[in-house]
Amino acid sequence: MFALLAGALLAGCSKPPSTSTASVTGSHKPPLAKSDSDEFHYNDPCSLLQSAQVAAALGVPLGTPPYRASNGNPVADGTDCIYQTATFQTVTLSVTYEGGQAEYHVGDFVSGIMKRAGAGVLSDKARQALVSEDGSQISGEWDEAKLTPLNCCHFEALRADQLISIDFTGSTLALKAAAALVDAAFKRIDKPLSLDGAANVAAATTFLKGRPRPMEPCSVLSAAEIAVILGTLASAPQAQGDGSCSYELPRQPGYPPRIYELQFSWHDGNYAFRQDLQAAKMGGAAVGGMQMQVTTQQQVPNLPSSHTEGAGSSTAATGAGGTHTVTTTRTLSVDEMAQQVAGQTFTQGTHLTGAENAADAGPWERSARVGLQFEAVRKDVLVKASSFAGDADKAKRLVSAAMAKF
Amino acid sequence: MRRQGMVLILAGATAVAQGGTVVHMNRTDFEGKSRPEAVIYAQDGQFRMDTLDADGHVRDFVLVRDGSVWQVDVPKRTFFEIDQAALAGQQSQMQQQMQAMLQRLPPDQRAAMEERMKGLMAGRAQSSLTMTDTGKTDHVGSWACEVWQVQRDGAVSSDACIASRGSLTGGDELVDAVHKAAATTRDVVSALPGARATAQQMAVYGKVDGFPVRTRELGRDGSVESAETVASIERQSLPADRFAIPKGFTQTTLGKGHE
Repeated sequence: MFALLAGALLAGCSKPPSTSTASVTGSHKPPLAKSDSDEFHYNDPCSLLQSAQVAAALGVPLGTPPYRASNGNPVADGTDCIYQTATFQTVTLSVTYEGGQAEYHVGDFVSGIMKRAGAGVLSDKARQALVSEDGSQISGEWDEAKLTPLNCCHFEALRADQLISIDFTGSTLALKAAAALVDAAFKRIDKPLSLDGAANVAAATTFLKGRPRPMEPCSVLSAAEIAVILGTLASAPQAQGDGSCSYELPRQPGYPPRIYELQFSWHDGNYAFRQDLQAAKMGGAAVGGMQMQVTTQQQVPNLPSSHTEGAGSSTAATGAGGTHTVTTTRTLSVDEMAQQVAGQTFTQGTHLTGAENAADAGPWERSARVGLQFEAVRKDVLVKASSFAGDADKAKRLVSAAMAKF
Repeated sequence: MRRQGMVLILAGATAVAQGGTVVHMNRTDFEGKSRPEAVIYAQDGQFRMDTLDADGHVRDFVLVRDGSVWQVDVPKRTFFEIDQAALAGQQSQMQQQMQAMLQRLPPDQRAAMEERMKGLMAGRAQSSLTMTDTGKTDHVGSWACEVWQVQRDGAVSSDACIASRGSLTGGDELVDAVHKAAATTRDVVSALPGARATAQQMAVYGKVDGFPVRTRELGRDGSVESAETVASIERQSLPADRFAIPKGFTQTTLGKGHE
């Protein structure tokens, strides 16, 4: 009977109401509550951690109070809570209060495939990189926990039927610190804070308007700025889609074309940056961990009395008082071999360690060389520069000049 | 000073004595599974009905007070007023959308669809609803009640077991608030073409001098498809804010429809 009071009035409608307050048509003044109430505050993912707790883990204050979100957007009924620094580094805590078991085990199929594939494709070193940063044991108030396969920074923990996951890809947060936050969240889940993530949505919406606005990729740097860094171009800069611009220098006979490319990710730059590092690390670990047998032969003087070589060696005598050949077979990884030959591992030499380069100072918050690219993040905008047959330092200067524009 | 204190005590005593009524309702589906479905609050002629989700949390609520109806979406923290202007605007917009859709159809399909819509609208305008006392009595929990049948266009669509106001805890408060809410709702929909049946329904419910402790939706063969039953009724002094829009909620408009 009483469902009529709500349902009958709205019967036949198909769209949600507009949220534009400017076009409100109600003819009566709404009867607004005079005091705050926690009557409707429950299952709020933002009520499990103190803001200061997350700020301490990130090492910097938050730029806006934690807010409820869905798919990265501020939404009052979102199941995620987003913590963001002033430079838009982002940590997302997601809470499933019921039905966590099913959600947690959805990934098992993918995980199983990865494990099976890993036996043939990934080295132990690469697999280890998915699990832990410093090898220390991570424990907490959960029954099970895991990192999402092939992702450095999406940690999930299950306790009974409650699932808490934290995605810290868009930040500098380490796994150990992220897991500690999940542990703290579980400890508070039965007695949450009054912190209301839905109430912070409006502030977050305003805060996010402060993000750098996307620009046409070839309009970021002026012709004069390009000329100072690269010299005269062979042709006008060429935009590729919305996100990149390439600059070609005049060709020199007998040499390949020299092309510089700037790529922009205007949103989620921290996220993309860390994913790049993770991909590089996995690739580097897979190649650098590859093992091969190396056989060396050495002529050594004969000793007065006979002796036995160690395992893996064999001796062929060439005559008394002369020399003989010692053949040694050893198993070396690509990284070990490169270390012996070039003084640094293969992954170091090719910038596939997954490490950020703290010493590479510039107008950015984070930077790294990843393979042949230099990339940096500022205000969550990722700028990458690659140079085909060009100068790596000039590529870096292009990034620096671009960063100064936002 | 002493007199002021006396006045305050009397005022407080009056508030407690008047109090409010809280009704908890469960829904039982055709498989016999029951779960909390709604909570009704009534006090001083003000009416609020919460709809609960599967976890027992308030999904939304309807607030009827001071001659207006408000719909509040709790998870989204939004609310809007359901008034004649908004409903008429919404209906007009829906008609425009329908017309636009019809224009995109091939002529023969458009003609068929227009004919079908005419029939539908005529049916709505002539739709009749009656509620009759069957003379039968029943018991729901500890309440004795009279079984009424709701007939839509001559066919029984549901029944309600009405307990008299005197037999219910806080019955006067509850029934008076329901009457007011029904009258307000009837007024809101009365101007709408095609909402005749709803207006009739509200008018009927407004006249029943009791409260339905059980409402059952019936199939064409008379089988019970679902039932809404009162689980408990209690007297409580309710804070004024219980009949208000919570702080921090944003006003929206019904103009573009509702899901």
